[in-house]
Amino acid sequence: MWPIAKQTLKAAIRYRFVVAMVVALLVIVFGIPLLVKSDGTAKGTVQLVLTYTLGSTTALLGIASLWMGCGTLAREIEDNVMQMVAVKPIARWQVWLGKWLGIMLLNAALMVPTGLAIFFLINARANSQELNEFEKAKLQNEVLVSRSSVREPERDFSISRQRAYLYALLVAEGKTEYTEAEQALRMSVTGPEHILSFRPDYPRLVEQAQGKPSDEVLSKLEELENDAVRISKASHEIILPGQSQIWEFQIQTNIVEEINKKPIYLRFKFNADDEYDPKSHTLWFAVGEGTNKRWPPEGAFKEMNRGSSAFHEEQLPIGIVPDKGPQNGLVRVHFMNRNSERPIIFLMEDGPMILYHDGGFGMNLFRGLLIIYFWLGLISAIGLMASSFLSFPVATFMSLGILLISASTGTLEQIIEEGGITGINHETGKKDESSMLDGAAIFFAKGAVKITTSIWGYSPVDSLSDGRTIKWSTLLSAFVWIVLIMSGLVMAVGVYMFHRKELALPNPTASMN
Amino acid sequence: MSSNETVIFAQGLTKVFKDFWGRSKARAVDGIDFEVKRGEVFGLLGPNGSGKSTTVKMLLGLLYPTRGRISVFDHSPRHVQTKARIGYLPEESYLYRYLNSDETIDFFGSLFHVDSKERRERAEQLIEMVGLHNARRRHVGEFSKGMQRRIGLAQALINDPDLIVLDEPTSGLDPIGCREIKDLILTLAERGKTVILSSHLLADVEDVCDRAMILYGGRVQAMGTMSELLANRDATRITAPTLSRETMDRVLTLIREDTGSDEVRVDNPTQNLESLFLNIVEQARQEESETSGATSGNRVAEYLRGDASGNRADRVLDHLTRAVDEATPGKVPDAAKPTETVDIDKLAGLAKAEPAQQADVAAKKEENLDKANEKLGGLLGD
Repeated sequence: MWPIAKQTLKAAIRYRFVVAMVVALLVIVFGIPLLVKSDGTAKGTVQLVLTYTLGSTTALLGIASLWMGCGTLAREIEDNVMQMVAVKPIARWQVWLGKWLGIMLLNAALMVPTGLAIFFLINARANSQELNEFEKAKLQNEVLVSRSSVREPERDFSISRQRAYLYALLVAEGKTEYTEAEQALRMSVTGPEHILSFRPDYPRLVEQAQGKPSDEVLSKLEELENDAVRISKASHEIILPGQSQIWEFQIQTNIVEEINKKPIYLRFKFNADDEYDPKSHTLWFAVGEGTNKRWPPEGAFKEMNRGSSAFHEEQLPIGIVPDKGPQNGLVRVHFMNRNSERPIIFLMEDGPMILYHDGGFGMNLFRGLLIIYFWLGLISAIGLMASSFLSFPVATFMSLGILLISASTGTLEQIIEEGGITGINHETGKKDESSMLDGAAIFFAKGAVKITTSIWGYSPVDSLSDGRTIKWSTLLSAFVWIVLIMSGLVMAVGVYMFHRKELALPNPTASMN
Repeated sequence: MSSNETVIFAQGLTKVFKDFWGRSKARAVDGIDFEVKRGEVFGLLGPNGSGKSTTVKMLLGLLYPTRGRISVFDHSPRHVQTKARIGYLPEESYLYRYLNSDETIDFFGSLFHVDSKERRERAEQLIEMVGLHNARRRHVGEFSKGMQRRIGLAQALINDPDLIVLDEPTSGLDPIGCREIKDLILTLAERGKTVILSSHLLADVEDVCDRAMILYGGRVQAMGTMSELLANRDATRITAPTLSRETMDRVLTLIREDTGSDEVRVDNPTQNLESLFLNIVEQARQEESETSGATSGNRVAEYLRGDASGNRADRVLDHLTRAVDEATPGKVPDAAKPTETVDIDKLAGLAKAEPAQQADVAAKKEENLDKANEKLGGLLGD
C-alpha cells in the first residue's frame, strides 16, 4: 500500500500539481487579509480574516482532493497503467487505499505550511504596533485563545402520557396533602406535563385513546401535547416586560481556581419583535447573586445596549466564580426585562453560556485543521469511489454533484418543508396532494440533510474565529463519524467497484460481466 | 526443459464483450482449451483481433471470463500471491511517464516486496541488460517506443518470475533488440521458466516457441509443437556442404529413380536478413561506434541467469537445433510421421563413397557452430 501512496504523491509533485496548489494557498493566506473589509476593530478584522482564510483554504483543498481522487485512479485505468499494477501481488483494496493515503499525504503536506502561515500571520497582526493595548488584550482574550463553554443542563420537555394522565387526575382532585407516591409524581413531572394538567379534556382523551381510538382522538391528543411542549419551551425562552429569568452554570470545581485567574465571558444572543429590522435594546444583567462576588457590586443590574439577532460577549470580572461553599463553581446569571412593552427572547439553542479560558490558539487551530483534514479525507474517498467505476470526467462531474448537494441544504430543507417538489399550493406554501415522486424527494432530502448536517456540523471555522475551544472529544467524534464511518462506507463501495472492474476492457463503454 | 507441472490450464474459456446495456458486442474468445507446462515457451499466434490479447489478459486477471475456467499455478488468475510468480510485458508501454528507469524498476519491485537493497541490485542489472544505462535518468515519457519496450521488459523481470507473459515483445524494437529478447526468452526457458509469447510476428514464435496455439475468430485453429505445426509432410530437404557436379548428378538421379518425380530442386541455402543485419551491427560495434540511444550486447541480469549462465550460448544453439531432433521419427507422434520417399540406405551408401567430403562436412559444421556460439555469446554478454 505504501509504494502506491508514495507513487501518488510523486505524481502530484512531478505534474507540478503541488507547486500550483502551494501558490494558490499562499495567495489565499496572504491575499485575503489585504482584501477583507471589517467593522474597523482589530477583533472584527482578525475574525473575518480567520473565517475567510480557513473557508477558502478548505474550499481549495476540497476541490483539489476531489480532483486528485478522481484523476489518480480513473486516469491510470484509462491509460492502462493500472494494468501494470494490478498484475503485481497487491490486492485491489490495497491499491485503492494506497491511492487514498497518497492523497491524504499530499493534503497533509499542503495543510501543514498553510496552518503555520495562518498562525504566524494572525499572531503578527495581533502584535502589530498599530494596535493599542486594549485592542491587543481583546484579541488575546477573545480570539487568539481557546475558550470552553458551560451551558445550562438541557431541560426535559418530554411527555410521558401515563404520567401526564395521572398527574392531571391528581391536580383535578384539588388535594392539598399528598401521599408519598403522589408527592413523588408531583416532583417528577416535566414542564409540558404540568401544562397538560390545566387542560380538563386531556384525561378524557387519554382514556379514549386506549383500545381502538379514532384518528380524531389521536390527532387532538397529539395537538394538545405539542402545544404543551411549545408553551413550556416558550415560557423559558420568552421574557415578558417586567419579568426576569435566571440561568445557572455549573463549572467543574477542580478548575475554578484556574478559571478565576483570567476573565470569563457571558455569551448570549437575543431576539425581539424586530426580526426584520434588528436594533439596539436595553438589557439588564446581574451575575453572582447570593455570593460576595456579585457583579455589578452595588446590587444593581448592569445596564447595556445591545443589538438583537446577534451574538454578544460580556467580559465578567476576574475571579467572579465562587470557589468555596455550596455554590462552588456555580455562576448564576439574572436577567431582568425592564422594557415597558417589548418581550425579549433567548432561544434555547442560542442560550446564554459562560466562556472561560482553557488553552492557546495554536492548539485550537491545530484541532480545527484536523477536522478540515478529516473532511478532505471524505472528499478524496468520494472522488476515488466515483473513479472506481466511471471515467475521469464523469467521476469528477458526479463527485462535484455530491459536493454541491451537500452544500445546498437550504434547498433540501425547503423541499422537506413544502412537502415535495411538485405542485406547490402558492396560497398555503405546501402541497395539496403528495405523489410518489414527492415521497421519494422528501426521503432523499431528509437523508441528505441529516448526513450533510452531521458532517459539516463539525465546522471549526466559527469556533476558531470566536476563540471557542474545539474539544478533543469533538475531534474524536469527528474522526469516528467522518473518517471511520462516512469515509469507511464510501471506501467500501469504492473498493467493491474497483474489485469488480475489468481493467483491460477494450473501451470505456463496455460493461462488467 | 518442460516438466509435467501444469502452469496454465484453460477449459472452455470464453470472453464476450458487452455494451452498457448488457448486449453482446463481440465474442473475443470462444471456448478455447489449452494447457501450458512448466518450462515451455508457448506461442499465441493469430492475426489482429483473433483473441490473443484477450486470452493473455484473462490469464492475468485483467479480464474475467464470461464462461469457462482458467487457472494459473492452480489458482485463479486474481489470486494475489500467485501474481508474485508472474512477469508481464504488455503490448504497449503502460508505464508512469514521469518516472525514470531506476524509479520505474524500483516502484514495480516494491510491489513484489523485494527489499530495497535487492531492488537496487536487480534494477542495476536489468537496466544494464536492456541497454538503458545511458538513459536511466531520463523520464520514461521521453523514451522512444523501443526504449519503452526495453524498460517494460526490465520491469517484467524484476521478480525473477516463474511465468513470463510477453505480449508482442518485439513490437517497436530494432532487429538487435528483437534478437536479444528472443535470446533472453530462451535463456529463461532454460532455467525452467514458462514463457507465454503472444505475437502476430510469425518469425518470433517460430524462433523461440516449443509449442504454439493459432487463434482465429477467438477459436483455436491449430495447436502443437513447432515441428508438428511446421513440418511439410509432402517433401524432404537435405542440406549438405557444397557438392561436386558429379555427386550432385548421382544424388539427383538416385532421388528421381526412387521417387519417380522430376520435382527435385537444388539451390544454395541463404542466411536470413536478420542474421545478415546482426553480423553487420556486430562488426560496427566491434569498431566501437557510439550511440545515444539504447545499446545492445549486454549481459543478462545475473539473478535471471541462475545456474544456466555457464555456457548459455551452447544451450541456445541446442535449442535452435532441437527442432531437428524433435523431427526425428522417434519423437514425432505416429499419426504425424511422414512417409519416407527417399531410400535412406542408398543415401548412406553415397555418403560412404565420399569419406573425405564427410570429414569436411563435420569440420565445417563445427566451424559454423563456433561462429554461432561466438555471435550469441557476444549478444548475451558471455
